[in-house]
Amino acid sequence: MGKIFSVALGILTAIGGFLDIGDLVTNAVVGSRFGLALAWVVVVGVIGICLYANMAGKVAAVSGRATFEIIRERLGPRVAAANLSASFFINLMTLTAEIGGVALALQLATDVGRMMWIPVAAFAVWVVVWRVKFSIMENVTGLLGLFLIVFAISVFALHPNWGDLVHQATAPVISEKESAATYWYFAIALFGAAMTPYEVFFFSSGAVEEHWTKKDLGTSRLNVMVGFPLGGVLSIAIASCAAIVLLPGQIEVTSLSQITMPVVIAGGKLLLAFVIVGIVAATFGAALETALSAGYILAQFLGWPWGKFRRPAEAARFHVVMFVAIVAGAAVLYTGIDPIMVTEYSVVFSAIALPLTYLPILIVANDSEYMGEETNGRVTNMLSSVYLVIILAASLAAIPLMIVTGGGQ
Amino acid sequence: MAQQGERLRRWRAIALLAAFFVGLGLLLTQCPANRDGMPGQLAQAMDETVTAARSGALALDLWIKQRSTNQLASVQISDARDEVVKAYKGIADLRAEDSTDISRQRMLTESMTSIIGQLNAASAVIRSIQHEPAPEKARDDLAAAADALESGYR
Repeated sequence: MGKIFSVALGILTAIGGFLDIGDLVTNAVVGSRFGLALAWVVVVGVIGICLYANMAGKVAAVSGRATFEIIRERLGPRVAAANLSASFFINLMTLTAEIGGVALALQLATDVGRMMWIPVAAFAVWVVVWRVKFSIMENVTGLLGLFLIVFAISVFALHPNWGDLVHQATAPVISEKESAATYWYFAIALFGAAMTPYEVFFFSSGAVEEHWTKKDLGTSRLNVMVGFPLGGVLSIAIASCAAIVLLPGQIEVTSLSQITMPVVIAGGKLLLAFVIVGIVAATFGAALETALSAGYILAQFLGWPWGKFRRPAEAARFHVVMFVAIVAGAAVLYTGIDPIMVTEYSVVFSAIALPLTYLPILIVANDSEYMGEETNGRVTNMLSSVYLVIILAASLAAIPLMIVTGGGQ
Repeated sequence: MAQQGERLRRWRAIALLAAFFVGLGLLLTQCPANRDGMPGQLAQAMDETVTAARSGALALDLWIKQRSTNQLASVQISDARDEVVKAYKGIADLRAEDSTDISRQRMLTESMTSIIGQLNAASAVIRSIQHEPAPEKARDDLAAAADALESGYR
């Protein structure tokens, strides 16, 4: 019974934890501009993140060490430093976007300006990463993030033309108002949002935090293979809500407050309360994960003691890195920059940095010295290689498309 | 032999660098501001204003029907206004080269100013600072302003 509960909890946490500000904003923007014509990208992204998160979790469970430690040892400091620089920058950008997301979500509930909420959000993130137990932190935010299921409920409550929605998803058409370049720019953004690098660092370091062994591989696989795809279903539900209400109303999403409109139409103030709690939990949970990831990757690269399983005094530098990252994120937001803009750019830059994150994981997962009999099989390698090609193509096309479309205008 | 190899490597590096800068230059000429010029920027600002006005009208509609809260409606209206202000800033200082662009720019800035005023008035009504205009009228005016701007511009 305890085992079943633990598996169910893991899956629910994975669903709730899958969504962050990048997924929320990008899916809503795409839904309001392209309908479900880009739903296929979510499917591609979810398969990719399942594949690589599972691989990173396996590396951690088998070796007892996080991916980044092994990357430095296996590929040398130079390659690891390139990986670190790109990943740390993207992670910092994502952390900034998430703290901004928490502030914006709290603004929706209170009408108090986001500038007032930024220090509150940043302080709360710091207190939780410093004091709260890893499992509690992960489970509470993951479970509260499940409130975003109201987007799926809203899709049904809005009584859409199902045939039309299915047609949009299965036979994608670019509307006259949009160009092919914009379509592909947002395809890359959605792909980057689904495969954000911090998810893999957090997943692999979390496995070490929770002392996974080979025995836990089945549970971890189940969490990833069931939880993430269901998280992907929620992503498509967000895009569907925008496609049903905002696209016909000719309202393009440019702010977080617009994302709630379809939910309010479907369920009034009750569903609004749920969606706000869900958005706060999802963005706050992701802010915790990105803050931790900042500490994880730097400490693992430099060989410092790390982890929440240690007392803060035993991993002081790890905690200092997280503190500085949180302060830096809040400081960037205090320049007055729009958190939604940071989010939009963070998902695209994630896509640019993807090869640096995922190629080393594939190399390590194929090293029998670390993995023993859990070394990648032929099918996994074939699929991973296909994904590497997709990742590389997305990474190379991202900047030219960003310039040509003026950031998706 | 070694000298020839070194020279070849140097030429290859120069050629690659030149190709990179030519590519970058070509790419930058394709960015919307360069490619579409002032008409493109005006059209973009018009689209942003129309979508913000419609968003404001929908936010007001949901508030009138009591499906939304005062707080959410107020944030939605403020967001819509900020979007119009951003679009205004993007076109206000553009230097037009022909009379069509000048008249479009004038029409746009006038409509934007009016929509910003309507959104500010709606925000004041939601926050109970004033009771005029009636919320229904504010909603209808915003929707009408969006339609008028879109059809008038084209």
